Amino acid sequence: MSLDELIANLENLIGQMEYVADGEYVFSTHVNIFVDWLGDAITVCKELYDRFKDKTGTTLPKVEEWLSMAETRYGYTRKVKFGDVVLTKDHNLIIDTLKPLELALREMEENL
Amino acid sequence: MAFSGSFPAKTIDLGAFGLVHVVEVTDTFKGADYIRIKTGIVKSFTDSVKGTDWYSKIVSFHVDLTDIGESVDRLEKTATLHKSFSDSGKVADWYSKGVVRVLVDAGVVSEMVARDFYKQFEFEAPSIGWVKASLGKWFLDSVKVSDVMVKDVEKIPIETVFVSDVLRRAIYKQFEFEAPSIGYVRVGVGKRLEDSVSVSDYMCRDLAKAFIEFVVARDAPYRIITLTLRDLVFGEYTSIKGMTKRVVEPPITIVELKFMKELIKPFAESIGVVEVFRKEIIKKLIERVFGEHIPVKGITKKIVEPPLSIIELKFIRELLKYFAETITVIEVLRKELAKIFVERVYQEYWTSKGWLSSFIDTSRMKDLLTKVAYKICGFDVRRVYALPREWADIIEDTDHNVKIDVVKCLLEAMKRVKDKLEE
Repeated sequence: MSLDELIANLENLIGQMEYVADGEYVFSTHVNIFVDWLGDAITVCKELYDRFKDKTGTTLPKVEEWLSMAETRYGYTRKVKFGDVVLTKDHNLIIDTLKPLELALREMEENL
Repeated sequence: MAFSGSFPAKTIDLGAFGLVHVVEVTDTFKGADYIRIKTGIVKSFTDSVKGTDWYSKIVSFHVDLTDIGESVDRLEKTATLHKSFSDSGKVADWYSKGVVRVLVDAGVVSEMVARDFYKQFEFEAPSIGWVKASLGKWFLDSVKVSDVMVKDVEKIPIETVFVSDVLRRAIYKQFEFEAPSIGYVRVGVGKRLEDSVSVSDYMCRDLAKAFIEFVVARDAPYRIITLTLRDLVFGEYTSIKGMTKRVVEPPITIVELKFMKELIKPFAESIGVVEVFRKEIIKKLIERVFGEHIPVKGITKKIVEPPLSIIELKFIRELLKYFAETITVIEVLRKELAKIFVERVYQEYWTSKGWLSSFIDTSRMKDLLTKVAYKICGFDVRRVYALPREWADIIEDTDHNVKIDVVKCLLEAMKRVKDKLEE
C-alpha cells in the first residue's frame, strides 16, 4: 500500500470516528478504530522517515527511537469486542503511542 | 503515840512534806484528843488544835496538789484513758476519712455525670429539644448529688460530736473512779473537756460550713459548664444542618476553642476553691490546738500537754495528709476531667479538620494521579488509572473525544512532512 493510500485510509478511519457525550454507550469500535488508525499511522511515519533519510542523507536517532517506541507500545494494544470491559490501559496505550509519533513527525518537519 | 508530846513543831516541819506525813498529822490529832481527855490541858490543846487546823489545811492543800499530779499521772497511764485518746484519734481519722470519701465520691459522681452528659450531648446534639430536656434532667441530678454530699458532710460532724460526748462522759467516769476525793481536778478537767468539745463543735460546724460552701462553689462551675454546653448546642444547631458545611466552616473551630477555654476556666476556679477550703481547715486546726492551752493553764501543764500535743500533732498530720491526698485526688480528677473535655474538643476539632484534610488529600491525590498527562499537538490528554473505589477514576467522554482531535492533528502533520519531502 502506497503512502497516499495509507494517508487516505487514515482519513477514512478518522471519518468513522465518533465524538461521544457523557452518558452515551461505549462501543467496541470506539476503541478498535484507534487501534487500526495507529497501525497505519506508524507505517506512514516509518515511510516518511525513510524518505527523509533518502532526501537528506542524515539519520535522526531520536526519530528512530520514537518510532521504535511507538511500534513497541502499539504491540500491546488490543481490539475489544462486544461484552469486553474497556480497561484504562486500552485508553492509555493509544495516547502513549500517539505521543512518540507526534514527536517523530515534529522532529522530521523541523529538520526538513 | 510516840510523837504526841511534840507534835506542833514536828507537824510544821512535816507539813511541808505533804502527803508522806499526813498520817502522822492525823495520828497527832488522835493523840491530842487522848491527851486532852486524859490530862485536861484544854487551853494549850486548843491552841494546838488551832495550829493543827491551819497546818492541816496547808498539808491538805499540798496533798491535793500532789494527788492531782499523781492522779493525773495514773490516769494518763491507764489503758482506759489511752484508749479514750486513741479513740479520739480514731474518730478524727474516721472523720477525715469520711470527708475524703465524700470528696472522692463527689469527684467520681461528677465525672460520671460529666461523661453521661457528654454521651447525651454526643448522640442527641441534633435534636435540640431533647438535649434541652436532658440538660435540665442532668442538672437536676447534679443538684441532687450535691444535696447528698452536703447531708453526708453534715452527718459526719454530728456523729463526731456525739462520739466526743461519749468520750467526755467516759473520761468523767474515769476521773471519778480514779480520784473521787479531788473535786477540783474533776472540775478542771471537766472544764477543759467541755471547752475541748466546744472547740470541736465549733470546728466541725466551721468545717461543715466550709464544705457546704465548697460544694456550692463546686456546683457553680457545673452550672457554667451546663450553660456553656447549652450555648454550644444552640450555636451548633445552625451548623449541624449540613455536614459538609460543618466540616469546612471556620466559625465552628473558633466556637470550639472558645468553648474549651470556658470549660477549663471553671475547673481552674474549682481547684482554687478547694485550696481555700484546705487553708480554712488548717486554720481551724491551728486555732483548735492553740485554743486547747487556754483552759489547761488553770490546772497544770502536765495534765494534758504532752499526750494531747502529740495526739494533736498526729491528728493534724493525719488530717493534713488525708486532705493533701484529697487535694491530690481532686487535682487528678480535675486534670482528668479537663483532659476529657480537651480531648473531646480537640477530637471534634481534629475530626472536622481531619475530614476536611481527607477531602483535600483525596482531591489532591486524584488530581495528582489523574492529571498526569501531556500535550499532543497542543491538546491535553489524560491517562486514566485504576484507582481505589473512593477515588473512582474512569475514561470520560472528553478522553475519547480529544483522541480524535489528536489523530486529526497528527494526520495533518503527516501531510505537511510528506509535502515537504516531495518538494
